[in-house]
Amino acid sequence: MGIVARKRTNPEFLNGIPELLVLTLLSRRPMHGYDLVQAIRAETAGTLTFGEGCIYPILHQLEAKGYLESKKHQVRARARLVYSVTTRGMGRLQESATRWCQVAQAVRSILGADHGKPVVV
Amino acid sequence: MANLLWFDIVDRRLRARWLPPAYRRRVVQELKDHADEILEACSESVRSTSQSESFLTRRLGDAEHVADCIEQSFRQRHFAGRHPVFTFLLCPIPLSLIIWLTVLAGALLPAIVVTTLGVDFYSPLLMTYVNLIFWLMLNVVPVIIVVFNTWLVLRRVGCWYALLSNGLLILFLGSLCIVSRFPIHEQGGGLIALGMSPRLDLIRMISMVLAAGVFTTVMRLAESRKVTA
Repeated sequence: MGIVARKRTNPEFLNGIPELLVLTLLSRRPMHGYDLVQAIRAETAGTLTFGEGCIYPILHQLEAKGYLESKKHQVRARARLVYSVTTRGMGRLQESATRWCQVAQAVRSILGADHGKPVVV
Repeated sequence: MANLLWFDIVDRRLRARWLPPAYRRRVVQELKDHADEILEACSESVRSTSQSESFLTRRLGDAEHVADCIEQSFRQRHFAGRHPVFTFLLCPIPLSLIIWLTVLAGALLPAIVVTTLGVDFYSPLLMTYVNLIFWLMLNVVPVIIVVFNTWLVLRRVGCWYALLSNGLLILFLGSLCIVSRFPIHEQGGGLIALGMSPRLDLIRMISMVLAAGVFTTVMRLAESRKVTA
């Protein structure tokens, strides 16, 4: 009788991208949700499209984990919650970025081998 | 504020999924502010026409999908949210029984030790101590466990499992009853014999429901003054 392996996804690979993007952008400067979405749009030249409402659950989850903190600030004459990365969040960002580079490198190697030439990303 | 229907759908869906009101208010407010900024940034023609609703939906995403994301993300934060069946259906009764017995054993240990040292178990001081422990075990510890479970329900998750869990806990703890006997040991020392028998105790159950109700009300009042992050 064979051993049935538990099917697992790789959450860091599949689900870690929004976290990585949010932490990276907020590490540059504190932003509120709308600014953050604009920054993602601008930086990725529109490649990443998503319902903008989905940014808030990500922000709240990162805040609950202690990676972000929020403070009320007046932005364009409106009270908005502005998010910034905590020290713990910076550590998490380092980890996630390193892991992402490793995964990206591995995928690039495989794609490169299939096509007989390195893939320029 | 345009697109009220979109926010209504999100709010109603989050309410139906029992997310804490303070968190619901916070996230809906942030979405409204976000929508305001989108409208401010877009052209006057879009802002002033009925197109604004579909425009906002296109930008913010499908209301039900956004609500699903919010709910999923909220639940993922805590163990109780990730494993509600385990936390609220499988775990509470065995765990509460273990807690109950551990506290009982721990509290009775000094009395047992004193008795084995030759002190008369029926001495007024020792009897008062033992009676106090039994009273606490039957009237205070179950209430604390039910209130703790209610706190877990309110703070971490809101779902039907949780309500059922509280109901089962109240039934179970309300039916616990210590039957005690104190036969005198042959050598003269005291010996404690304990047994448990299930017996529905209506008064104890009502006291637990009342405590959970008072706690819930206080929590709701306190929660309205802060935002659940």
